[in-house]
Amino acid sequence: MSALLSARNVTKVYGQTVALNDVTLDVEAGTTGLLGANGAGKSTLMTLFLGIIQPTSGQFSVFGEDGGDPIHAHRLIGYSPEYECLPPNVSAAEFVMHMARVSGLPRREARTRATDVLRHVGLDEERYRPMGTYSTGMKQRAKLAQAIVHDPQLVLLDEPTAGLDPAGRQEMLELIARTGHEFGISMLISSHLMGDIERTCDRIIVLEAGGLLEQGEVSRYTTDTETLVLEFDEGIEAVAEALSRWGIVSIFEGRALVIEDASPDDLDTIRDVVVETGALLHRLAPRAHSLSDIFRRPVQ
Amino acid sequence: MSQSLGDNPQTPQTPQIKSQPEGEVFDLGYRHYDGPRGGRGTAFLALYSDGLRTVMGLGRGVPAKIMPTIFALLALGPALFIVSLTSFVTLFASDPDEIELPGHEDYFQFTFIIMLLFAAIIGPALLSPDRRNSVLALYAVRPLKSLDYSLARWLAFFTFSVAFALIPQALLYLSFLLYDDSPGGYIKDHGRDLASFIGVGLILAAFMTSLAMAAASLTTRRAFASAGVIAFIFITAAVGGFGQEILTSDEDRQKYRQEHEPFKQHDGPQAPDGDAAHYLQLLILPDSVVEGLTGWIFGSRTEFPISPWWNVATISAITGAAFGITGFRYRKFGA
Repeated sequence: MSALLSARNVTKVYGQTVALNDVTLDVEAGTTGLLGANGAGKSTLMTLFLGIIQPTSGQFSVFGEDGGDPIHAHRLIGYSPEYECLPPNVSAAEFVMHMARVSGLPRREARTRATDVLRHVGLDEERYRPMGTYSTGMKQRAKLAQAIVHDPQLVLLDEPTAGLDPAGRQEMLELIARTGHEFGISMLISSHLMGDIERTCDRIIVLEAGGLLEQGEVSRYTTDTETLVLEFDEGIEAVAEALSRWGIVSIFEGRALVIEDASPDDLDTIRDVVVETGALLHRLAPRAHSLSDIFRRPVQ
Repeated sequence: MSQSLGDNPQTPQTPQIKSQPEGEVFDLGYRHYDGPRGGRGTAFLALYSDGLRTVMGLGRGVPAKIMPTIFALLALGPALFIVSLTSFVTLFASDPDEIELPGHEDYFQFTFIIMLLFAAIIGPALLSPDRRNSVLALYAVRPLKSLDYSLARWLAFFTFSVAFALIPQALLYLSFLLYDDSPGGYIKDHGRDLASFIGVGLILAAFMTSLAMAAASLTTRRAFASAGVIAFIFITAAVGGFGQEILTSDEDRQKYRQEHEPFKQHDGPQAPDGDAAHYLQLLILPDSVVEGLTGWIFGSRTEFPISPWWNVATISAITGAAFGITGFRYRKFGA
């Protein structure tokens, strides 16, 4: 399948600042996370694909069309910027319907879809209230609603969890994941929070200081490793000593022992040792990678 | 909200018919849309009709409707008053032709300042808040070209300005026509009035709209834009007025007095003018340019200190420049 969005050697310079530096990447169908610290170039990349800015050098394509045809692409793209963009004195029902019409939907369909989408994002009860009275979470939902009201193929969400407390962030992420996975709308979600991306996305693009650091399947970074973690309530020293007699090297990590490159045979040995020493084993599990490992590895 | 049930003191008295639900909510979930998708035309029309709603304050709460209502009353009130006066005069005056009622041209002199306030106060609502609230970023990712946005907003306000200028005039015309002894003859005699007020109305509406939109495109605050429109008119008037005073020589003034004072002409030049003063007068918008143009179009004024084409040129230049400023400010509206 060809990529929905792709960039080839894209560089964008603002005066002295290099916002994007020779970036080559593809955004495919599905949910893609765009991870990076503030100023890494996430928003610049999004506005570039949206046709709002042009690259200083390099090529990009949108829906397979070189350089993008904004008028055509905008009918099939939804976008929610990271900053507030809602008129405070207008109700969500009025505004989302208006945005559907500006996206090209006829009046009747615009009204129906605005109602449906506002229900989907959980703003059913409050949709006739002026948006200036909304909480941050409700504003983020209204922003999502206007981005999906015209049933786009691809939605770009810039920092959709900004300003939310942990519970609000969790709800927002679930809503985004549902919109992406169940309804088959491809998404590009930017965030500076690893956890956001890990929970919602299939694929990940990592930007650092305007350059591409990584791109690939999220599962590639979060699959289990060959490293075993054993947590003990009691008897951890005895186990470590017994294991070393069997030639298994273990490293102390607080109340846990970490064994790298453990083979299936080692598991039997560990079981026997635990029984023999009578130690109280709390947990035994393979260690999962975390996306944060990306940043621990040296940059090639 | 279920918790409110418990707080209601009347709950125990209501009959217990909870077993019969009054309605059911079906979550239809998300549905894909495969109907027609319009392009620039649909988007343009949506922006235009949203502009119309914004001017009237529809979908924006009660406070947003107060000023539009006041302006509607101000625009129509005097016309309705004159209409009722006309009927009164026709029915009860012994010689109706002796009584002179305000006509179309007089009405424009009155509405000019109200139209100006309407443009200054309501006009900026179409542009300034969109930039202030970053809504432009959302329009930038819709099937629109940047000029579509400013043009749709301009047209929306132009529509109301035209209505503002022409509906009261049309009411007047209709009442004069109906109360005349021979309506057919009235049309024949006053055909020029009809064409003139439509012409002047369109010119004034385009002028006011462009001025208001230009001011609104330059600031994100409506109040600043409003002040800007009013200041533009009065500062140019003041500059023109002072300039004319300074540049008029005593000889000119003397000559003027000798020529005009004994006759007290209505349609003559209102001030003595030297060459430089003639040109500065072009700047005096409310008094001279619009009035000169109106008099010229209605054919009520025959004597001009300078060619009325200069008035046409000034109005066109200001309207064009204001339109250009607006377009320039929205040339790339997403970045």
